[in-house]
Amino acid sequence: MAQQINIGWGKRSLAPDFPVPIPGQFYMRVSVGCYTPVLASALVLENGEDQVIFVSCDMVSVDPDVLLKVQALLAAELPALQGNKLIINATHTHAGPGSRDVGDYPRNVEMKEGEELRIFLARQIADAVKEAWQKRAPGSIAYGYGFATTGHSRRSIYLDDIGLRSGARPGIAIDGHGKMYGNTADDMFASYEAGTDPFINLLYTFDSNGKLSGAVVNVPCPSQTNENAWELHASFWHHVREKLTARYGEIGVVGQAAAAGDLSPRQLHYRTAEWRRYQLKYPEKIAAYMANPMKFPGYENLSPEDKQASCQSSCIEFMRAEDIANRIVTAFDEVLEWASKEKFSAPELKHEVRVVDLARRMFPEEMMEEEKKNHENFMKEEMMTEGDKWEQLRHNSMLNSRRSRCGGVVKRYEIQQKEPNIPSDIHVVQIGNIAFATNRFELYMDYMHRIQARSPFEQTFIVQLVTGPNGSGSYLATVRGEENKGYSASPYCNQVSPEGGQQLVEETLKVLKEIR
Amino acid sequence: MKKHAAAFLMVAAALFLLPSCASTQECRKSAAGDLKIGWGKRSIAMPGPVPISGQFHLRVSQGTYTPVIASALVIENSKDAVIFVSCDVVSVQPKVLILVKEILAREIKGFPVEKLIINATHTHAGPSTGANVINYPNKMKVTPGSEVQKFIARQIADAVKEAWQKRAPGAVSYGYGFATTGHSRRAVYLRDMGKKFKASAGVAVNGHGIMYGNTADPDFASYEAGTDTFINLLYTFDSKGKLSGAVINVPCPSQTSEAVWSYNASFWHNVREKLAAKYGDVGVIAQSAAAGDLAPRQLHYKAAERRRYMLKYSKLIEEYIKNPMPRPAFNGVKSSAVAADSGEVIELMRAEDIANRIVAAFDEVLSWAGKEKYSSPVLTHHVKTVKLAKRSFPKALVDDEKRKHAASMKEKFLTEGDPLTMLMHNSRLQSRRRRMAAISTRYEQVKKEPFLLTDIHAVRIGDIAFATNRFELFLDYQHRIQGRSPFEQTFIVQLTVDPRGTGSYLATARGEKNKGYSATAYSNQVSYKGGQQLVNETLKMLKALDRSAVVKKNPPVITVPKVKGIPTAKDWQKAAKAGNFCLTDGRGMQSAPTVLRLLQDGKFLYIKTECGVPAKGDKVIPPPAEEPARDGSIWQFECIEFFIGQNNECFQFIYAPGKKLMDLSHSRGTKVTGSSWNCRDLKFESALSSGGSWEAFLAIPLDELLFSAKGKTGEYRFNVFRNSYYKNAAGQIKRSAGSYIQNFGARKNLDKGATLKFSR
Repeated sequence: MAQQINIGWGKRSLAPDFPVPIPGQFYMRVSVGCYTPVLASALVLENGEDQVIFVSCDMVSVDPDVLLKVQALLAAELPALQGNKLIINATHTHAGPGSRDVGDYPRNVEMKEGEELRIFLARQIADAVKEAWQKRAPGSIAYGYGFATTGHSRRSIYLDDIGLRSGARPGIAIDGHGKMYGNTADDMFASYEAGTDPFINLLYTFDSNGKLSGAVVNVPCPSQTNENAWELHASFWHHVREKLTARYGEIGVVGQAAAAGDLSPRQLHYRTAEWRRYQLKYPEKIAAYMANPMKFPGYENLSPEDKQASCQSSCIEFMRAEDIANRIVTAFDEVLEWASKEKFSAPELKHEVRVVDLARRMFPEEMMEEEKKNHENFMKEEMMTEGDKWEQLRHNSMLNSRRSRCGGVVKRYEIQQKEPNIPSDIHVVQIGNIAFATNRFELYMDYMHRIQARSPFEQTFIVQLVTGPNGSGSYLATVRGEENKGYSASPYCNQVSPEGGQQLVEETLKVLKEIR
Repeated sequence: MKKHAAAFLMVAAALFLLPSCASTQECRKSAAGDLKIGWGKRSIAMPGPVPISGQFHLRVSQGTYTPVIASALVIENSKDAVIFVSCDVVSVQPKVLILVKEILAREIKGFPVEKLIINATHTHAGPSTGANVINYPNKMKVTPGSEVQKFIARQIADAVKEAWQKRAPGAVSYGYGFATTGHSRRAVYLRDMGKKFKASAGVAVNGHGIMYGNTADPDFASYEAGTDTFINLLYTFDSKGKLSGAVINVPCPSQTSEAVWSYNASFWHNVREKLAAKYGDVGVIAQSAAAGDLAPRQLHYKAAERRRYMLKYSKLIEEYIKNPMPRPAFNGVKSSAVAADSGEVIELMRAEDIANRIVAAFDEVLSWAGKEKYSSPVLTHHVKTVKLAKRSFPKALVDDEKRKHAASMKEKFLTEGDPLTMLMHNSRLQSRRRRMAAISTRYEQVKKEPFLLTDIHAVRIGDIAFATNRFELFLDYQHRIQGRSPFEQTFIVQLTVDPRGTGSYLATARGEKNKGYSATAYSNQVSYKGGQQLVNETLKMLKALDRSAVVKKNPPVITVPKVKGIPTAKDWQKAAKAGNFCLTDGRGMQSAPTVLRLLQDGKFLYIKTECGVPAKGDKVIPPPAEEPARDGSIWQFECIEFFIGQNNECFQFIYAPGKKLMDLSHSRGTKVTGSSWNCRDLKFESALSSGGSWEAFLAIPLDELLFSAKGKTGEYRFNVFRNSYYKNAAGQIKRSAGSYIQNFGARKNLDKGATLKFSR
């Protein structure tokens, strides 16, 4: 007999009052403001026998060191909380504070980064968890699924090898029949590689009076609208939170990206129709945005038409976030309406944490030699040491990225024989008839379908970009992805092979079946 | 520059807020239009033991569970017409089309029969339009196919007649939204499953792919092509602006309850009922976009789906159980008990669920698309017969099918027992035999006739288009057409009958490779190469329909002739020209004409600019006199922006009537950038003409175009923008942003700009 479940919510801002690095592009950005709140949202579910603590962070990824720091803080401050039961996921907004070291290259822009920033982030996350833990009280949950179009396939496939047309882009990607965000108006455009997934998985929580207290919202879409922004923002999760607050009051929201390595919020065809949609649907919101657009370095010095152009393109992105949020909230309401007929106050709660070995993506020697050459060439390219500081930052961080990506392939080649597997952390959680299964990757959608279809649970929430002590991030492509190449499926991007991807599927299913 | 920022933002915001009409040519929502719209409909639920096709076995109608109808929409102006008809049937056979045309030609003088587009919604529970020759033992009474065809043709013709007679001035709106309707029905596996899951001969050959394959299999890898959640909508309104109907286009065949023995329009019935409850008696043309590899059935989360319906539709389920649909009496026993969680109930709730999403999207899109009503959109309808490469087979396959066919000929028909069981068994055996035999026939035919002839309709209505095909078209082809189409939205309509045929799956290369039902020799008349021919032929037609096809998506290379010194009038006659500006967002051509003439003498680039107005009586609004001659805020007014660059760096010249000019550097090759840069030795003149237009002359010293890296000598990237700002004869102020090369993003980005080459 399962025990009464205790539920608690907490949150903290992840936006410090000093400039921080914003990773997510090949070049580094530094925050020049905060356009929307960026949060760590925590949900504790606990029944005396087991526990799970979900934390979603408005960040592109969460460095393992942040997790370790959070665990250390909580071990000292909340001994009853099991640090290994923390599931911290990045929503993958490309405009959150960066928790990794920025790298060593000449720059002249002030920011706080690395250890200093990680200490800040860990404290905020730990405080969010503490709040949730301390506020936990008997409650109930409900669950269901619905449909909301959030992500679109971002991998365009061509009838010809597009890589032969454009040549390699050392340190970035090697295109083949596939290209990330490839032009669909091309005469040789053939298809989207794997299509999309419109499912939305929802877990609602209620207090002891049956009042909605929050929800885990799980969609196969990284929240990367306005992904070039220099102001911190949470992408569509901010809009979702605002809309839900307006409807239901102060409720918690854990925003999770399901497997979406090959998906993004951006539609690759119907672009003109998309803008028309926003112009007609959101004229007031567009006007409000245009009156206060996202700023970036040098904005004030721009020519009027560049200002206009930058506002226009960032406005489209902002409206896209609004549009996605509207669909999420519509599905949220729709599912809540019927799912809340079944509230469970004592669901089974089991939480397993495992480390699984996944086969590394191996590289042939020729490829390593090629990347060695690329790396050497990039090492010959000079870092900017003077001139405009923003241009310097952009140039040097970009060069640094390309160097480290080429160098990364060489390093990985060197260890691939000795370390053919990559240890990776997974969490599998049962909550009544549904389950959560996490992974650290930007996981291609097909893997999610494999797990969900074979899972013994009614619904299986796949949560990508969950940090474990063994690491976080990197794309995990499928066989068809590897064959088609393109950014996200080239050696620069993949630590784990498709074979390792299937191992992830099998290992996850093994645990799902064990706990069922 | 900073002092202008606030003003600029206000202007930019104002530009965004302008209704689309003000930024498009011809003011496409003019009040007094020539568009006429009419709606009609008829039941096609023929009484009696009418055959129902859609499975390998034949069913015979036991009655009507939901209405099945033919809906007709006429859209016509003085120049062209389109008549959309959607039918709740699995497919419309050519014979029916031919009969409908005969009736209409006979009964309506001058009716444009060639403009009829009849599509099947693909419900698997409509009256069969086939010949349905029963050449196998049968004890059931079955209405002959020829009688059904005549009945359905008469009903369709009457629906069209009603629509034609009721046509009256009206308007259309359009938009797209999202509604999950179809799911991929092609499961793909990590290994070849052909042996593990062997399909019956004559049905399919499985490989890595299996139609409706088990996704809980340990070898399940993926869905082949995923799904598509777009819904395309065209709304119609009467002359008072009241909604009169809509074309609803979703990539999903309406094949829930696909095995039932009573008429059922699947989710389209639920959609029509819900829309009628909301908007009164509105017409609905129900179209399936490309969905050969999609179905309303989700292949995973089955238990969750069941629970969803049980919790969400408990009342509907209760009602249904009390009054279930008519069913056949096998062995004389008519069962009426239905379990709440039976497949029959799930299928019905699935239709309800899909309909709810379609209607939600319908309402959502209408809420904003209804703001732009077009009463005189361009209406052009082309029909073309195209040749598509047939799927050919290796001899070995044909021999194998011959053997299988011979074996099936030894299988026996039932000649006694329960008539329903007999009908199912015998019709299924007959289908399998026919499909196997057809392989041999087609093998011989392909040698003589390697191409299949089929009609495509391409229809332009304002900024959207429709493109039809007769197939169960795999989704990828739709994306190819939509991705490359010059129209804002392109409604793909599958299963549109043409006089030569209808139906058959058109699979992709990956489909053929993976095999499985819908992608095997039995199912495919046309090859994937033919599929790409369909794509290219359709795009050719779409481009021919669209004036904005001249939008230069493939930027030209312009060679600028050399002259000696300042050009003379004679020199200008041989100048290179840049004109035909499109709207920057690609939604059409800019109505204000712009022409640049270009010459060079090795030292200067000479540009003569002629900026016209859209209509007589229009007058451009120049920058006010108080603006300084150099570097004022002239971009807010009528002006040209000329960009010229190399290697991602460029220079920008904004010039306007009244001798106003602003020059900017976006190049690290100059000491200062932005508007602080001033081009030396620049020559500039501009003047308003009496007719409301203006002209300018600009001479740019090439030595002043300094870039940080050396590019090709005498070669530049360029683009030109026209900020058209004018007052029309009625005193209204109008704006539009146009460009030589379409550019919706940063204007200084010349990556996709045209090339200027200087001849020596």
